[in-house]
Amino acid sequence: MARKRITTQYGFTLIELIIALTASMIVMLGLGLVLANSQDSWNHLYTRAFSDTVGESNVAGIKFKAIIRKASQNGFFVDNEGKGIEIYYYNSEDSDAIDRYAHFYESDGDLNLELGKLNPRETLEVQTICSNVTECLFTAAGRSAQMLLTLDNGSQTISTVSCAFLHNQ
Amino acid sequence: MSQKANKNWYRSGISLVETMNAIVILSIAVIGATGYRYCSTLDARKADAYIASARIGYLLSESWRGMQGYEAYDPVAHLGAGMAITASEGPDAPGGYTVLGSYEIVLNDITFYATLSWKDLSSNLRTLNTILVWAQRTHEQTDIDDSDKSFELTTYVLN
Repeated sequence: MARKRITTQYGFTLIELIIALTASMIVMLGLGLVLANSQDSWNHLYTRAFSDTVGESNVAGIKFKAIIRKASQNGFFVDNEGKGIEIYYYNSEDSDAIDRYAHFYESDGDLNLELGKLNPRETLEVQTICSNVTECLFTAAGRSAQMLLTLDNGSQTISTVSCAFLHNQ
Repeated sequence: MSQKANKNWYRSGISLVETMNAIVILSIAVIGATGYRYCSTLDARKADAYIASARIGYLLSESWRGMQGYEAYDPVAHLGAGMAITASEGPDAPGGYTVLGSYEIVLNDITFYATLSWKDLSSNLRTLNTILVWAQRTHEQTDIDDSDKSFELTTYVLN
């Protein structure tokens, strides 16, 4: 009679419940830590890949290459401290002589591009390519020009390097 | 008898076993989703390092090419003011190439090791080779032995 009572008993003892709850809590805690870490990494990487700073640094690199590649290899110069570079190019296929200039320079945390005419010199346009510039160095090596750029928007620092070859005479 | 069965059928609430089963299933789903995000994060980091390596390789290669493959070209002297580049050990150059130098470059907290080398194909044609290696798996590189990924560029100059 007593044995029958034991076998028909259903439910869990207090010990079983405590063990089960403890095990569940450990699993949930571990999962929570993993999830929090994953979310943090995800946010960091998303910012790293899609922030304005990254976009601006890419745009600056593309613009630099596009301008340098069409420049004449004769007579480009880098400012003394490497804070700017000026190149010269033909405006069109009909141009008999080099008639345009482009000047990249850093000023007050902005990277600017000044485009203009030569003979007489006249500024046509000044574009701000990117802001939050903390370091900007232009160099030249023979027929190639380099731009080493660091952008910092307060929460993220991105460094990028660009190089282009001056193909035209 | 049938009254007893009905009683069981309408018994409300869920047992601890059912709850535990639900937790296990949910945990598996959450772990799966977390693994997916982890892999996508890791892939994005790999792509980031790969893009940086391509930019550095292009920078070194084109700068040297701009100097017509000059045998005494020194990237440290040329680029050292604007980026973290130092003379260091580097990956092996291809067979038959003369090594110009090996360098350690740090860009956006990733350490790259580069070797520049050259080979004359004829009296007026020179090949310039640039190899970069970096640690893709660990991202905590301390020396070149941790490297497990490489990027190679070859360009030519007429003397």
